[in-house]
Amino acid sequence: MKLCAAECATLIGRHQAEIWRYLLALGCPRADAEDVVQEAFLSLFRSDFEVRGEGETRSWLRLAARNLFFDICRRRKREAFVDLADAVEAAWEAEVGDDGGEARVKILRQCLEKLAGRAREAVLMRYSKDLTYGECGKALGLDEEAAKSLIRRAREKLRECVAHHLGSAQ
Amino acid sequence: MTNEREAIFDSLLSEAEGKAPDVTSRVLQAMGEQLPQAPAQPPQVLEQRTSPWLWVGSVLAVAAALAVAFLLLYEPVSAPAGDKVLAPVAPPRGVVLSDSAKWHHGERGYELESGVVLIRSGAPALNVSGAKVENVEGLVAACTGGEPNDGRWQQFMTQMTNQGFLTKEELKMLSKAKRWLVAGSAAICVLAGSAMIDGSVVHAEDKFDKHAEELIKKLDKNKDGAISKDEGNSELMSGDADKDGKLTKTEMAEHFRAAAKFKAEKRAKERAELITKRTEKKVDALMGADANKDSEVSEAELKAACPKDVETMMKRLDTNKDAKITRDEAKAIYAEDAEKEVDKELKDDDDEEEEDDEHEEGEDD
Repeated sequence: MKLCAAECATLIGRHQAEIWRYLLALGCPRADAEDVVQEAFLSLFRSDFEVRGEGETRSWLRLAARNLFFDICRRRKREAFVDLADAVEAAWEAEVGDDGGEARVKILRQCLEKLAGRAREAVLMRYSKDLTYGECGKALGLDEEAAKSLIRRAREKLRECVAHHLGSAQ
Repeated sequence: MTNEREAIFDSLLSEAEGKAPDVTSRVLQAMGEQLPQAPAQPPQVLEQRTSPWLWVGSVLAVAAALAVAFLLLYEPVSAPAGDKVLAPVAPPRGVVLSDSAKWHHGERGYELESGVVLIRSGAPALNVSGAKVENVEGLVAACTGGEPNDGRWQQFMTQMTNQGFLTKEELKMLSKAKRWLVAGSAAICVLAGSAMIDGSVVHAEDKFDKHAEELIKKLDKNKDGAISKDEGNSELMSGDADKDGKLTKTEMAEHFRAAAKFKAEKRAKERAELITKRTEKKVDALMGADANKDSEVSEAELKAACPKDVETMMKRLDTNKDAKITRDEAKAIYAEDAEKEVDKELKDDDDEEEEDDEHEEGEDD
């Protein structure tokens, strides 16, 4: 790939968030996702891949990221995520849209603002800070089951809210 | 479809508070190690000039230096010399390589140069020592250098077991790799399902092959390895695909496979129809309780129509907990029930059919 540094930076800026989200959806731990995103871009820039369309580049990067993640799984002798990967890839475009999920994340943030205090806190602990249900419960003074239930309900509300906004937008 | 959608939604939720990490500087830094060093600053323009020609010359020199600097700064980022990896660093999806395997992605796509490879469904086409393996629906083992001897295969199986990247079922299949097809210097074994090898569809040895083999043993009176019109009935002989009057083991297995596929498709259609019919029937019955015709059944309406188990029904069918049951809510739950019922009935039918077959076979013997 023949790109100057500025072009590389633009391309990274355009695609890195989507590849990161995609890796998390595949089950890649947060601790590894950033490294895998970096490696995926390095693979792209070192390859002979010609940037033609945005869709093609996105697909290439997703495949590279996925293979790099599988390599990690293989090294750690974990195979549980492999079966889900094909299904995630098949559903990805339909679920996140053409912008790699940007619009949905924005809507999600707006919807999160509408959530009641404790539910919002629980969701943030679970998904942004990557805490276990037990840890979330402890922080909120709930047992694990109650925390799980609170997060599940909050998550459902968020899902509905996002679907509603997307429906209105369309 | 649900699990992956949930996983994708969760990945979006991960960004609910903060943004995804920015790797731009890290990537550029890593690339910088391979980039040529920035050229030295162009020479300074002399402040004192005695001749206009000298001034013009200096300007031209500076312009040339700037042009050179620009070209050098825009030196493309390319792979190190001799680097043959044109594809992502890891193998393509659906492909598992032996430790010693060598592969690359060239003009002909993915090519295995040496070693052993396992190819799963969804993998791209792969060239193995000149043989093209594509459209894999199942699991295929391929290796360079001809059919692997026991030692080489055992070594590969040990590697795969130690890596833990294959399912138990796949590992079991590896131990049964016996029917190797040799194409050029490649050896290919379809372990499960089917694959297209050099343009021909090859199936794994399955129950249809075994059944065909057993039947040939039983009916082939002249021992020529095939069934002739005198040896088999017309129904069986309809599997004689090339119409040469002889039904070979491959033709027979293919005939059985096609029949099984037809049966499975017919059954799937019947199953879907049964599920829809039963679901609709139950939903219609429930919606009959909708006295005010607002397309929703409230607890009171349900009580009026059928006072029994109202609480349990509301708990189960009112999935969004708004104290009303809609047609869609009821349909989702009743469809699950219908699926379970129909599957159980079909399984019972299968068991009965199997028992009948065994009984008939016993009588034949």
